[in-house]
Amino acid sequence: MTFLAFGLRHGYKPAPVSLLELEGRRPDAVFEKQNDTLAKRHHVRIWRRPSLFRGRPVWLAAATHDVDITFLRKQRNFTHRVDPRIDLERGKIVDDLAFTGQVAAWGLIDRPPAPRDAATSTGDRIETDGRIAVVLFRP
Amino acid sequence: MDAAGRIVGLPPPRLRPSKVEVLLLLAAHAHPVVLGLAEAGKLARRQAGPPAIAYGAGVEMTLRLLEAVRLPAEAAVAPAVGEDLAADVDLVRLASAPPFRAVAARLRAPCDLINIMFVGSGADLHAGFVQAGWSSAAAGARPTS
Repeated sequence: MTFLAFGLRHGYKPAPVSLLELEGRRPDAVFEKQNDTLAKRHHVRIWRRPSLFRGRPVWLAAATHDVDITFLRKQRNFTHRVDPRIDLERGKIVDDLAFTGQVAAWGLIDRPPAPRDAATSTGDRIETDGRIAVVLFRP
Repeated sequence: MDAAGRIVGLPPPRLRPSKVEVLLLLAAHAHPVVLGLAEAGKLARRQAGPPAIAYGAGVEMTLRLLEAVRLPAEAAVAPAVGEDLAADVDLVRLASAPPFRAVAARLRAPCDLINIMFVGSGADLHAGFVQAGWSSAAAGARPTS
């Protein structure tokens, strides 16, 4: 279905994402918001963490915005290119969730050791202020 | 946009008159009745249907609000923003600790940055994203990004 959507140039909501791991673990949840083309979509991978905050589960997430499809010669595989401005995607997710009315509080927290300028495994640049958005759902 | 506020599309750009239009214009100069008929024809064509929307796939539209949006009562409860969270030592310790990056399973290379932390149950997450218009996706079934 993914290749059919690619060939017909339309969207495919359940299109799979590639497997990223956090400390050797697969994501516990993946969500995406698809446009009317397979080339563009918003997606976020989410991992459950062992710690709790005030007795509630804690999750870490990596959110990026796919903006194009490219072919990797070395890996002989199609992949998406991501928008390097990942802070915009962070903001989009906070805004989307805030509009549902299910968010009790959110904020940005500094992480001085986090990288500010990096690249993905396929060479796409990542630009960020290094901060992490913290979103507390309503109990 | 029509009178009810619905977006119906963009009028096609007008570059130059067609051959038929040129002939009608010439005829209109010869007799005013022809001019009236030509204008009536244009009006009938516009009334027949709005111009088709011809955006390419993947175009993202930016909307400019002309008046305040009335949100449902539930959504109007705005979440508290930030500063209290940054003052919570336990939360800051959790949010600012590694890991900072996920690893691409196939390439065994650092990949996306961790940029959001959620606090809530799995059901909270699922309900929030689904209500915000997001869909669940499988990870790793066929690598794309």
